[in-house]
Amino acid sequence: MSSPARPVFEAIRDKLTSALSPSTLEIIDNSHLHASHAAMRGSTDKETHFEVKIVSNAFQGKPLVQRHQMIYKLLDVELKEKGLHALQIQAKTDAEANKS
Amino acid sequence: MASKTNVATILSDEQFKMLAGSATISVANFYADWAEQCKDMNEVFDELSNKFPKLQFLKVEAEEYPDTSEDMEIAAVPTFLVIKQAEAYKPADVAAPAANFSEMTPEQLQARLKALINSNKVMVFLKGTPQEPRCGFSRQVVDLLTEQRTTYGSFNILADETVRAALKEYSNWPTYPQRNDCIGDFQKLAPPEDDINTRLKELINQSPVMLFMKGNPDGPRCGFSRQIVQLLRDQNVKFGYFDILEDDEVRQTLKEFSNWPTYPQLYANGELLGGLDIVKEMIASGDFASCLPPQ
Repeated sequence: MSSPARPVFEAIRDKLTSALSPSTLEIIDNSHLHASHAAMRGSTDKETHFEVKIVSNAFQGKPLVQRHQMIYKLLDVELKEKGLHALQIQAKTDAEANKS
Repeated sequence: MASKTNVATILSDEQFKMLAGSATISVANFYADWAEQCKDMNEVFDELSNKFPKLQFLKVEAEEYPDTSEDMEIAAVPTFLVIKQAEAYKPADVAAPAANFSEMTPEQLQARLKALINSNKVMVFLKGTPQEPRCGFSRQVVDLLTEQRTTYGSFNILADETVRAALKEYSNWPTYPQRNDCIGDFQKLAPPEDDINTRLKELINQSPVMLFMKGNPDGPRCGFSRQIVQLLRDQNVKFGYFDILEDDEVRQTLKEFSNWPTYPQLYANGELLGGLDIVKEMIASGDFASCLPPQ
């Protein structure tokens, strides 16, 4: 089996899906927007900045900070070892998503 | 105006040695008449000498007494030094915590200042803190002391309302209040052995609203940090900040402490609110104000 061309993207998709059973999950790769920034200088990582929009009832009853912490925890390896540098997160429950 | 008995204007190097050597504690103001920034500090010095009649205050025109200035390692003016009568040098355990001077009685104030002074052989009154000096001269003093590996305590005169209240000019200082929302940070000068978790807990509680960011509010070093500062300013939130680019130990350990791997991080009342996304969402939903301490 060949290794994925977008390992971080796939890890985000796979880990969040299996842990949170989301109704919707949108992952946007914004790495190219930050490639020239100071923090990225000297880095050869291709997948560094992502936006994640996720709707799941696993977030029911949890304050925003905890929802984000859950997601960060699931992607701990990617953040520490795989070059993932920043995540923009929007985490809603079904009810909240339907309201807007 | 009658001259105060606890204030002496130094007229010779010998006089300085004699006076500094004879009093248990002296507070020395090294100044220069030509230096604009000394005007404010001279007023602070006067105010302090009123408050602490039992301490000896020495005014030294730094350039007139170069030997004394060199002995005391004065790099720039203004410099305040608190000189404790030399005894066996004791390394500082922990620099004194920030004091709330305005709530104290004169006796408590005196005891408090004495405790501050006694915590360190050398005590420096700065504009700002060793971590974030708020003027070029303060920065130079800090650099020099660090270079000399002198352990010292510091006191941020900009953070003391009582002292600052004596100076009209400081009410216009950009860090207070107007539209400027940054409360200068009290950085304790903790020696390396100090428990990092204790240090983090103190940092988090330095201000009711505390932002850990890349860079500083007037010079943010990342887009997310810039945005969050803008939001806080738009919402008229008073906040303290810490530049995590300046301290790698805090930068790495706070991530674990907060269970939050990125910056910026916003704390309110000692609890993590989250990062930029959460602040944005809460402002949009109208929940932000209720999470903050009364402004």
